Amino acid sequence: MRMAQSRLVGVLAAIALVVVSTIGLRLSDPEEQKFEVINGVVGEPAKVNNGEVTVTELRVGTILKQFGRIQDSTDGMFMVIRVTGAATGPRPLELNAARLLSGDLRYEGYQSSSGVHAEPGFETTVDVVFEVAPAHIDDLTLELGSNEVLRGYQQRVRIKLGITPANMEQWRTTARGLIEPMTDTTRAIP
Amino acid sequence: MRMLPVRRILLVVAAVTAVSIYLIWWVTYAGIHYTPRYSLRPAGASGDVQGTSVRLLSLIRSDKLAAADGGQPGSPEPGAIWIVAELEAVRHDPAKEFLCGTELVGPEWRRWTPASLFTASAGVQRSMPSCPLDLSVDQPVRFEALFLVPARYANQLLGIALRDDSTAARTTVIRPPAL
Repeated sequence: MRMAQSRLVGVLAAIALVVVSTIGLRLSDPEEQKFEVINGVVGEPAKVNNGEVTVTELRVGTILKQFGRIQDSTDGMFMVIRVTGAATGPRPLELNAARLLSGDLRYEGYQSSSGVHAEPGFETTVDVVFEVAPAHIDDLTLELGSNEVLRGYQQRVRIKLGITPANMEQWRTTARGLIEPMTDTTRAIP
Repeated sequence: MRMLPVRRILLVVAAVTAVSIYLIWWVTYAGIHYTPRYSLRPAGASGDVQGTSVRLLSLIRSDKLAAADGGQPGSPEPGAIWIVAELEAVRHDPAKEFLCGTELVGPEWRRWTPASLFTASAGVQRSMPSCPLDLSVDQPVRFEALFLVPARYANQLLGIALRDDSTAARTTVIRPPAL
């Protein structure tokens, strides 16, 4: 049984394309990646590889002030979450990707707002900004992870922000007026 | 039209598949287990990177960073201290360019990147350049690298790593004569 050389080239090219497509799809769809979820609560440090991360404060508003001027306003609500990342181990803590989850909904950080990075021995506090729909804030959870495309193993920290059906209306009512995120601060871990 | 046997085709397909599986496994394994490797040079000895010999002249600790223009000195972050590395580079290979990839190495191989990338130290004007580009061949040039480290590690520093991401060779760590 014999096959034409041109056909062989076609078969090999097809196999190569399937392999490359599979790898590409796997790398480009983060939801298909296997990762470990670290669950945490507001006010308590969640331990991850290379350090720990703590959410200490949650604020809401409708007018965003940044760099000394009004940056934006919204019919929804801005949510500013204060996060401290501490690199307690010998490697940097890199949780640069931040998003909010509410059921099937995902909110990405507002404009360039991202997660937290700390060099070894340091802790950095950042205000992460999101714009969310007031009707969809039930059970909001902050997710922090890595931005790297190629990785063998990844952890994601998920911290529930304490917004429940019982207090949801209270958050909506509070979300009126100005809100100003602070600039990032860094200090050595005491 | 020339014909090829199916057995040969299957062998080629098997070889391509085996190589692909090996590459995927290797990338995954390397991602999980990768740890940088270092080569520690004797105190005062130079290290070679990107066709350039680099020597660490001094590694000075300070809680103030003097400004060359007489302006406000740079203060470190709370609990941290400045480390000023004074280096000398001599380019030997005109075909390669030294890209100033330095890192401060501390206990348990902790590494800190130059502070100007992450902190407000960039606002302090220094008299010595931080990265001399386009070095003349065989002409020694002095420059400095600034680092911000937790004060508790200031007495446990090993030296300066000369990074070159284009090679898998061990990263050379140079040390000052005094350490």
